[in-house]
Amino acid sequence: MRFDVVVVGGGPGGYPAAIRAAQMGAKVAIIERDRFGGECTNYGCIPTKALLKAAKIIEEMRSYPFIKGGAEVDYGELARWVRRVYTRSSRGVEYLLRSYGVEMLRGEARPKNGKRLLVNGEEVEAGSIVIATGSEPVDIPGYEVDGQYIHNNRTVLGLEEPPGSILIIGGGYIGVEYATVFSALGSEVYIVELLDRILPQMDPDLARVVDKKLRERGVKIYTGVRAGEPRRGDGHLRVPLSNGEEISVEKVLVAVGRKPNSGFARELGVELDERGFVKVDDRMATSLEGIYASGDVAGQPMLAHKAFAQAVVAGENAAGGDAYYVQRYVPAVVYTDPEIVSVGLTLEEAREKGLDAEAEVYPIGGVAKAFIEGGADGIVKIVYSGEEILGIHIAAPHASELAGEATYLLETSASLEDLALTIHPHPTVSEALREAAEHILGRPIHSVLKKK
Amino acid sequence: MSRVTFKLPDIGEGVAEGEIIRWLVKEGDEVRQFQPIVEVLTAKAKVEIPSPYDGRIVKILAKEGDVVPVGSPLVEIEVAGKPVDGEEVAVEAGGETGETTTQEQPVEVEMPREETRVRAPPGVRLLAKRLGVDLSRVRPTGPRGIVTRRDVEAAAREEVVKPVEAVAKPTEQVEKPVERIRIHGIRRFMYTTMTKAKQTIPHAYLIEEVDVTRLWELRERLKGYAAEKGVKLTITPFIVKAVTMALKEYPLLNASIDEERMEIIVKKYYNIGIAVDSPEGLVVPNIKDADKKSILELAREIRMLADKARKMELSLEEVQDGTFSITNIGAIGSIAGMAVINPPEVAILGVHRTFERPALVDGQLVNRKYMYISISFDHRILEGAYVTRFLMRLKEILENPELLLLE
Repeated sequence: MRFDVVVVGGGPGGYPAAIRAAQMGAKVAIIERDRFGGECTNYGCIPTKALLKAAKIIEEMRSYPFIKGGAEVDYGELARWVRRVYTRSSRGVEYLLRSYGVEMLRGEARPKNGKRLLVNGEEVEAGSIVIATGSEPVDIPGYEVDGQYIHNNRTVLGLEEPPGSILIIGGGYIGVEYATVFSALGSEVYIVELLDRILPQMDPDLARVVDKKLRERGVKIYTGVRAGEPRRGDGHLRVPLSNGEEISVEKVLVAVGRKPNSGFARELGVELDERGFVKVDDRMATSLEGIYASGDVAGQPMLAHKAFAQAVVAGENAAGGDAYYVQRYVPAVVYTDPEIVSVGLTLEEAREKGLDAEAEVYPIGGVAKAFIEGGADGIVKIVYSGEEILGIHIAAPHASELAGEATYLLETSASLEDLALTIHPHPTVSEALREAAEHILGRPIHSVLKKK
Repeated sequence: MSRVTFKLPDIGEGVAEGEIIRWLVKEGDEVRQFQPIVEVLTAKAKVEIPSPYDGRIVKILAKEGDVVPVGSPLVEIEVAGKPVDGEEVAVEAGGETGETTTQEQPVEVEMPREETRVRAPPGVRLLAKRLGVDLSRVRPTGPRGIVTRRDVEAAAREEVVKPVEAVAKPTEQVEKPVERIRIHGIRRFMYTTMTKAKQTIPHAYLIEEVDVTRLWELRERLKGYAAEKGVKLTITPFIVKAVTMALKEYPLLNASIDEERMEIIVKKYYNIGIAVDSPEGLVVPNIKDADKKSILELAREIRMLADKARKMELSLEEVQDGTFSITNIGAIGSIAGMAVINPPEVAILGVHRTFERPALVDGQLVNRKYMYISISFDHRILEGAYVTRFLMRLKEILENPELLLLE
């Protein structure tokens, strides 16, 4: 079989590449060893968001004073609903691929020679190749995933009931999202983070909001602490911590990070960086002619929306186009309660770059919709230099829906004044963004200026 | 003392950029106000730019050979006797001559900018990539220094010219003997205006035969008198005169088009351009108010303009504001040809070689002198019948040169 473009990997870094190449008239095949839609659709973004929706409903039923009796959850039903959500998404991806005439090949792709690949022993010849093999969870010694006691983000979805207690190793976005889910479902939750705070990649003020909220829900957070080798016994794991304490839990979720799946790329012979990511230029071209890479395997940040953008570029170029990845900002979104968004520079990063930067933290308590949505303790933090916006950080109900606007402001070099002069609908949480800009400009209406 | 960045001033109608021919000063030199500091070749003529201040040249910001747009920095001058408060930064924003600031902060100096810090929305960045334009070298015109789509397109057009310079350096691979001639200055103006003329103006053409026997006889009789006055008489001044007479009767040929307002601007003055091949390419200086000048005056002026053109000494004024042009290729050869209109004019007259031919006059076979004249005209606003009448009138005057006395 011969194709103009062969895409290896059917996730967010792969399937958009296949579709774009097909739109350009190329004969395209896509190879997937598991399920179309990839990690995001089947094990990551999508199922976790479904679980977090459940968590949100449960928390709201608990926190609003007019609901009596709380929530009773049928976990089996919830798990089935979650499965329905991601299965639907995965089928949607297959439908799109089929509609664009993309040949879907199931199996593991192995390089043969040149641009010839083997899939299930059959030879596939490619005019050009897009490597979109994604990433996988990082293991830690002593915590080999067994799917029974020790889990990663994939196996944890297979639980038949919420654990009575769970230790989450790693306070990154996966860790805090699962902490949000399991604490709502009534589990006793521990987070152990090696660094001095949870969400170490995000703005510290955002991390603080999430930290406080999780603690209020009863999550026990250990920062600057390492989990030692666990001891098994009586259906529990005893985990010694580096601070001398020992905790006993039913399950452990390892969420210390992800690493690129670069085995295929290495066999193919493309150049990798010291962390194992495929080296690409702004056309998503690798070191080998006619071979492109996109998504997690092509570098940080390992986020689906970055993968989408890169995949389109890779697909277009693989089909003979002239596309470039010109995006400067990739928003980071964590679906905790409240949701948090970081895009652009933090104050610390801006100052490290030698910019004359300042930051203003605007508490959103004055925004009526934020209070209605149960998130009056959120913040909007804008990092700026003069009129220029350098970074936007939000902790608020529905903050994820504001991430697009925040990114657009940065991509188009909008000024604080542009933001302040843009009408935001009332009542919405989005008003907080505009108010924060007004606040910096010294003319807010819905907050009281301190007398100087 | 204060430092001022002096920018290429607006030096005349239609002049958007200039090529730095020669610096007349060097860094460290003292200059007086109005002292010429640099020679700039604009699209139409060579101009000397004077210093706007007394002071000292600190830094020259444009190299010889650079093509710089109007408004771009030429030179930093330390201005004498213009004290600036230590803390205060005096900025004459929008001033004609440049911007003033303290010594510590020279403005307008090109700083290498990190590309990712250039403000440009994603669509503009993609366009820049596709056109191969380095964003950090683009002059932004958007608010707060934002690079717009137009800025990138403009930069791309400029870069199209640059590769010539780049490949002009001999490379080892080039084995075949070639000479590369840079298309710049006047030659570049010729390149762009001729392209524009042919691509935008629907040209139509007419050719007519003129019996110039009597015109040559007249010129023969008068050339002695002219020589006494130090003037070498050719037939060109007669043709210029005849053209102004005919144009007065057919004024639509002495016009230009205002495309924005969709109007024809009919000129009530007659600045007749004469095409000259200068060493740098085609130039068309024009004789101002040619209709009001005598044959002798015209002859003298044509000679003077041609000399200046060949020495590259034409002033901007001498090449601007022509209303109609004549190209006299006949002096060299060619029996007939079709000239290209010199925008914004709407017609050009071609004058060709005079040749002898036997002709029947009153039943007698006689030797006569003939010449073809051609006209190229903008068919968007001129009809063939109208232009033919003009041409026939011109033929009539040239065949009966005594008519010139009536003017």
